[in-house]
Amino acid sequence: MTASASSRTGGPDLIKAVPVRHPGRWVGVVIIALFVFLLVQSLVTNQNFHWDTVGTYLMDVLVIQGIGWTLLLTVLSMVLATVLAIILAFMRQSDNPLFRYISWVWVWFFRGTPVYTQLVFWGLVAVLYPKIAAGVPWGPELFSFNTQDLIQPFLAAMLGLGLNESAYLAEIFRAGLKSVDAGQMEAAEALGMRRSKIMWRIILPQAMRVIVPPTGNETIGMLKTTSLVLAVPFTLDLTFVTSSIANRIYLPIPLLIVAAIWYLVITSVLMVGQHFIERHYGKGVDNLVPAPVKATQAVTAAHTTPEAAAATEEGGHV
Amino acid sequence: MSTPINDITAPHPAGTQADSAAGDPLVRIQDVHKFFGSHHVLCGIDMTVRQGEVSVIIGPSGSGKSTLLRCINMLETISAGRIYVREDLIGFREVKGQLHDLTPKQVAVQRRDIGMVFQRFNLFPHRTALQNIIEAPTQVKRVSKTSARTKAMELLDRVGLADHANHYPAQLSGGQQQRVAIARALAMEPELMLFDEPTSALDPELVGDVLNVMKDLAKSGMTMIVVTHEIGFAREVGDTLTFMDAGVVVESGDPRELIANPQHARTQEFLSRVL
Repeated sequence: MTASASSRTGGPDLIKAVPVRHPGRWVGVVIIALFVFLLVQSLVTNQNFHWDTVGTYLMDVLVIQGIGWTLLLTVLSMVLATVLAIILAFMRQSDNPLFRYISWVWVWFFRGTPVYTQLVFWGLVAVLYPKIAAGVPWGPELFSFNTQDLIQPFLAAMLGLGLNESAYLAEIFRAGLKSVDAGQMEAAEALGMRRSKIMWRIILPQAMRVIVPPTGNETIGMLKTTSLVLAVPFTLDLTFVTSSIANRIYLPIPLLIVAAIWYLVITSVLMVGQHFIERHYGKGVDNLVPAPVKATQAVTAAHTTPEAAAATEEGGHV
Repeated sequence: MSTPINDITAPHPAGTQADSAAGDPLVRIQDVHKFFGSHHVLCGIDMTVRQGEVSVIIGPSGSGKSTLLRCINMLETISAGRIYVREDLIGFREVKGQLHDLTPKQVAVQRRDIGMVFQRFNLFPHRTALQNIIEAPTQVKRVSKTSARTKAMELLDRVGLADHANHYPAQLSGGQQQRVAIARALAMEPELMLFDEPTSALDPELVGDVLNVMKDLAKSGMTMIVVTHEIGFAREVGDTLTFMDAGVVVESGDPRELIANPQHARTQEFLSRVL
């Protein structure tokens, strides 16, 4: 016998029960394995998939550049949308009725019209407003520029996607802010904190737990919505590039597979990122190492000395 | 029905009157009314709390005692009357007899000297005990992180939780959370502490630790207004006891006397049910 705690103290006989067997699960595994085998076999043996072409174009320079543009569009429009969404959600909760109204109208408009239509309009903005000028009304013009030079297709695509997304994200952020207990606001107010500081340091970090999962959803959605930017027209993204290659070589299927593989790879990477963001904002709530409720002095002293506490506190701010 | 407002005997220097109630008036509540819609929650409350006094308010649920407490630091706005803390009119600015709302910034400034402890603790769950305590000093008073941390450790020591500084609220028991919440309020060095049923959400065996912290605080000369159901605490620590019912102060006086010998039928009935 080893010198375990129980043997030393002559402790209880630990239970070694026979677990319930699950033969059905093994049958399931066999059936699914069979189906996967058949599927893979069909994918490999069916010449119509043109796997050699998939291989040729998977790492094609144009395709890789398309991924770059798609990623850039996704990231920049999500950043734009997030910044706007935070502002919109705060405005919606504001005491100021003007802010609340503006926020409502913004969400109403950008959520209420198709993103495709919005993209077309951003592409046409130079036609609608050839020149943007700043100056005194009916007075001298301070400066002006040609819209055509300013709103390049990339910017138009980013604005179109970002502004549309901001309306959806604003609702997600609003839901998150509302999910935080009202007592948090009161406690911070009672400490003499200003409202903006309370929102930013107390309410939003707690709301992020609720906000991150649906925002991850939206980001993955955005990755694929970027394929609509041909409406602008912006023609460098992954979908447009692969379909134009497909049109050139008359082989649509392998290029669709190339695009699908890359979208899947990027989505997987984004999901890993989301996992870490969720872990960050779950601090203090999710996955806590349970501390003993009535910890004895000896145990806690070993865990947490004041110095250790102060040291970990250093990096502990959001 | 109401306590007299101005019967100051001799003014005492603040801080020396640890356990007597003879300091200068710190809080003056004058004919305060509060409506929630058509519901008349406070119906003309008069009350004075002196420097260093421990004023305990008891009464049945819905009697308005929590609302009164929340009016003192503007978590609720009063509908009529005046509340002064020192010479400051709470929540408003009076110009030639006309009241003007304070700006949010002015409200925040008034709240800084008034600490509040809630029934449900309301610690910030995403911050450790220590981070909870240094939040307001560093963010509101712009105290350096190092000195705020030193002070916070002293406060945690004072409430008996120095070895829990690095725990998140979810890792603490209710009683421990409430003691951290008291330390958090004290970190702003308030001149007045409001306790809104601080032990009502606690398991019975955890109540004592919190009451002991409050008792020590009272001994140190802190002015406290305590809404509670702990009659024992009122008797032992309170300088005055006020019984409220249906939005009015039914009676008020020395806690031991009032508990032993309540004058009003409503007080007698309430005490007979809780004692």
